[in-house]
Amino acid sequence: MKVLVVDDEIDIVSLFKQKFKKEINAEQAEFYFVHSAEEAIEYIKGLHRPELVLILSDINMPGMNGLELLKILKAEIPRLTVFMITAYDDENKHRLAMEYGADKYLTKPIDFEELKAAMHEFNNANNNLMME
Amino acid sequence: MKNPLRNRGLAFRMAILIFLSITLVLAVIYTYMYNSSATIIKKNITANAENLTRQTVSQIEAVLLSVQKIPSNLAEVIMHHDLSIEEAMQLMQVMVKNNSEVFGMALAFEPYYVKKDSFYFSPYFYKSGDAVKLMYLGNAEYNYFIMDWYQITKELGAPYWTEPYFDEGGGNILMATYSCPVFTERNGAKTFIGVLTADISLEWLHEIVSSIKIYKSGYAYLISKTGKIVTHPIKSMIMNESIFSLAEENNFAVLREVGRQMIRGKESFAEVEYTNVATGKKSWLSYAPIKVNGWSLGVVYPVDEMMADVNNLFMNVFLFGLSGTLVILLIIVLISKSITKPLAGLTNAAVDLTMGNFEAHIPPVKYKDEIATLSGAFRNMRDRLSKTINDLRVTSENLKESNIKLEEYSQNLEDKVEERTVELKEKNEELDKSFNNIKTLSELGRKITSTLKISDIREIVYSAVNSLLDASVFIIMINNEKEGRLDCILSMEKSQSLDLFSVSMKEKNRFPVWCARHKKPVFMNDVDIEFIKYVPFRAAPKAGEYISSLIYLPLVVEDRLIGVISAQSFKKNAYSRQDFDIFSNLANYVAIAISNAASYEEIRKANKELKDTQAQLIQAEKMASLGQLTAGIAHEIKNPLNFINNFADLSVGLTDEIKEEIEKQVQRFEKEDYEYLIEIVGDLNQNCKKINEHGRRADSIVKGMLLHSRGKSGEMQKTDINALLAEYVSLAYHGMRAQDTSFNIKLESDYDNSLAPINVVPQNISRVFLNTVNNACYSTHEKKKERGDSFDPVVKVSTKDLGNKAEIRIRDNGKGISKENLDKIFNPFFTTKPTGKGTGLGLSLSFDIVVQEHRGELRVESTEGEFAEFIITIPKNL
Repeated sequence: MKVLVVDDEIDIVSLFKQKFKKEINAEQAEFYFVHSAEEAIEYIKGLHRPELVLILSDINMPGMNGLELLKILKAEIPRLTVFMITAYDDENKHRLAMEYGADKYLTKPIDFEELKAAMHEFNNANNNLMME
Repeated sequence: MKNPLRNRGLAFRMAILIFLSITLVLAVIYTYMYNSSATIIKKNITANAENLTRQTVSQIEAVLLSVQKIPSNLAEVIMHHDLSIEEAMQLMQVMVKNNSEVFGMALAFEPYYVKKDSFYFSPYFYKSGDAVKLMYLGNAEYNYFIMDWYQITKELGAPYWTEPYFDEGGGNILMATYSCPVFTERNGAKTFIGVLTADISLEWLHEIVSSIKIYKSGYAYLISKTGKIVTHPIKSMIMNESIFSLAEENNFAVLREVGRQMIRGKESFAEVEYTNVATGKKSWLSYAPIKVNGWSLGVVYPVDEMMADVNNLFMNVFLFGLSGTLVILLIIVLISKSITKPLAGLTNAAVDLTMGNFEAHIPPVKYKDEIATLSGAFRNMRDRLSKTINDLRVTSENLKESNIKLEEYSQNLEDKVEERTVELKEKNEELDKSFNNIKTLSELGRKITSTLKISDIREIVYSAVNSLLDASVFIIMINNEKEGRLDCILSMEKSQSLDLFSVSMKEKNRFPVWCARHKKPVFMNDVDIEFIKYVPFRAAPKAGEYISSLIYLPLVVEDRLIGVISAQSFKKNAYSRQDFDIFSNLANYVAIAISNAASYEEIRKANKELKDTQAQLIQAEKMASLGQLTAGIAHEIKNPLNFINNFADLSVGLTDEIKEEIEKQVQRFEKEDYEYLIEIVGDLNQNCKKINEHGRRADSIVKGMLLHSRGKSGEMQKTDINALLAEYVSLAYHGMRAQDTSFNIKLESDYDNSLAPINVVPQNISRVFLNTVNNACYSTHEKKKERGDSFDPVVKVSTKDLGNKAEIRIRDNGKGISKENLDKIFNPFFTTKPTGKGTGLGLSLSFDIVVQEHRGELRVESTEGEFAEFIITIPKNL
């Protein structure tokens, strides 16, 4: 499973690498990190089958924010899976994210148990995708 | 136009008017009577004429029928009995002789029937005077075969009446003939052998017809089938004129039409207006057919004669009416005279009176009628007038005498004026005293009206009142409209302050209540006697002794009762009118001053309320901006918290790994070192757990802060407050029990069932209920822990419908809130719970929800150690 994490906080890399140490070592998951929405778009564009990549995106970022990123990505690649992970758990942002097609809306501090369960779900669906 | 009656006397006018009315009535009656009588009479005449005409016709017909029978019977005899000529002739002779109506009879045979050589054979018997003569008809001049009576009868083979004609053959008279054919019967075959005739003389018919008398100039006439006149009173017209020739000559179209109807055998008795040919007068005509021979009888009725009776009758009626009217006129004139004569007498007397003659003669009255009454009254008037004038004369003389006396009095008056002047001086001095009183009063007025405190007013008034009047007892009472009573604010008796008291406005028998209710003064100088003017009996005094004189005055400003003021004395007759007036003035000042003070008090109160509201608004505003601020901060804190919590969590795992690793390599360490390492790692592990735990705490605080900043998070909807409150009370209670099994309190509730559902945001209001009930439970539970069994914790919730608002109270008998904390409890982050038990945001959030979102109020009342009560009011019109 390939996961692209979009967050302007550098520490996120260390946190994810430690939290998913087991999965990474077992080569069950590959993590890629970018620190802005713009970088994320560039990265996705370079992929052969972007829909096989799970995207985890923050909302509040300098430059383009996560919601705009979500909107653009979903408009271009509707089969892409995007989880939004944000400190904002207000209704407005939640509603907007769902409107733009987010597949999950998780709040910070990140509950990794919850995140792992959601990823597992994606992975099952993804295996089907890979068959295509 | 001038009315000619206007200038005439009363009698004349009355007579003329009555006379005209009667005449008019009579004329109407007369006209009606004439018309109806004429109709009746006409009907009678018509009926008479009808009878007369029919009678005549049947008379003539009887004659004609009897004539007819003679030849008819004889012809039968000849035919059936084969009579000889001689026998037949003998019978004929006898018949002519014996039948007066038959003029003559002929038996005419066919040529050569009797004698072969004789062309004519026709014996004819006829009357000549008293004798009956025989002659034989038929010769060259008189060829009877071509005569109507023979030829037509022969042709018809049946009997036939001829037209009247002048017979030249025998009788040489006007006649009409009835002819019968004579047959012989041989072997059943009838053979015509001749004609048997009977003649009637028209002279004789004329006599019958003219014997019919119709009034004086009426008459009857006969016309033949062709209209020829057969009988007529004018003999020259017989056989010379026909009804049609008469119509032509006189140009009577009516007569022509009548002729036509007559020869057609019609009959009529209508009034055909027809001018009598004989007399030239207007007449009516009736006619009827004589069916035997086809002639017609006409009867002429003279109209004037027929109507003579009617006209006579009416002439008589008119004459009677006229004479009656004249008699009535006479009576009217007499009555009018009898009325106007005494009136004229009275009029003359009145004229005399106006000329000043009081001895004027008033005519005597014969009858006891209205005139008599008038006359009597007039007489009385004359007598009184005469007396009054006499009185006037006397009065005029008295007046002269009075004038003289008046001059005398005038002299006396001057003396008295001097006396009065002295008195006036004394009064002047009194006035000076009054002026001083007024001065005192006005100074007092200025002083008290510029005072805004009721206690000051009281003192100033009491200190001044004794210098103005005897105020052994002095009372000021204020109208307490709300409670419906008078509250005493000052009660002095002999310079001693008495206990303050209140009088209910219902105690109508008390003087202050009477004064207040009527807004009128009570003023008595002997209460024992005068009290009855105001109340039915004397009530015992509320304070102090019975008094003898008193004044109660209402304090009224702009028609509004402020209170009452009273001065009382133990002496009788303590107050003069002047005292009363002064006290009234004082009362006016007091009323204004108290009213001002009350207004000032109200303004002060309103001002305080305004300030409170302002403070609340500022608090609300503070909360709002704080909310926005915290939202921003909260988000920013959440990001670092994310790392703190998660890294701490990771570190816990890492320390566990280190511990495992150290334990694996235990042989590589000294025992002391090993123990030291394990201890450090254990502390590190503990620290990381603490970091994670406090990170979570921070997170929950931030979450609470964020609740503040959430904008519109819910929709208003009609909610049953009682049900919602009950639900959350139970939720809070069970929540507490779940946390602490020792928790046990008594829950009481008092829900107002008349409270209908109101518009609120239920999820937010329920949060308020939950917070406040939680706090109440916590507080009572804490107190229970302190005090033990001696304390029964109680939480009571209640609702109440306040009309336009709903009120919810949550009361507990827990620890209460200290005075210094009362102001702070709604501040965010303020909590009295131990660290970690409360975020300090519950009440702050509740305040936001109630005040900002629902525009209601959230108040708290508390005594430390006793109770705390949270009062929520929510307006209904949201």
